[in-house]
Amino acid sequence: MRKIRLSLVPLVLLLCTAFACPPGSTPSQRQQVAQAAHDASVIMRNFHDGEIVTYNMGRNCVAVATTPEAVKACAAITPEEHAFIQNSLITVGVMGKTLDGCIASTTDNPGIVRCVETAITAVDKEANAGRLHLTSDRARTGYLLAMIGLRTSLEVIRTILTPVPAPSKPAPTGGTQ
Amino acid sequence: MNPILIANLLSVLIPLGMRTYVEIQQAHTGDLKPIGDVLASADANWDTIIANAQAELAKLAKSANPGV
Repeated sequence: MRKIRLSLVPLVLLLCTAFACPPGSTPSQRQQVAQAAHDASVIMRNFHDGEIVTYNMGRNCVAVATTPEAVKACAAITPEEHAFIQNSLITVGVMGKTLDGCIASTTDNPGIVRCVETAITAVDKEANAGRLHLTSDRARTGYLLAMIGLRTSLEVIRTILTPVPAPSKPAPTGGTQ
Repeated sequence: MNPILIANLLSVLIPLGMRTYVEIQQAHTGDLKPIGDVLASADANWDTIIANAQAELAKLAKSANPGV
């Protein structure tokens, strides 16, 4: 009996190798997760850089406009909208750094998924606030698209780390009483 | 120790070790940056965003109160 039990040890090790037990992330999963987190930061940085340029161009346009029609044609981001976006990006930036720290320091998948879900909740909150506060097309569209891109990157992390549920057995049909 | 058990263990541990070695090597090639480097780069982007946003808020405050 002892010999049989001992001979099962390599089989258990082999199965653990194949299915990555205990439920920590594999090296390739962690690589993908880190890359998705990096992609999120790139999306937001690109949006921010563009938003600053757009705001300044609009401000310069308004400064030289001589009629209300010309001012309207500038389609500028207002200073209030610009301030809202900056405050929102500071919140998102802090959230992003917190998530990076979590990915770096947490070794179990459920722990990282919890961090990601906290981040997704924060992004949704910012996006909802953006829908309320941003009225100009240029500010609203750019900001919401960036938030969608950010959320998508976070969803990718969640997808990578969430195990696929085993298919449920179909209920037995027929049978007699 | 049972030689059959030793053989079984080696047949599992050697491929496992090789796989780990290959993945570490791949992580250090040009194709795959080490995870720490990737996250550090992400952090740098977030830091830039925060710093630029704070600078923009400072400019807005200055333009709203030019005498201050």
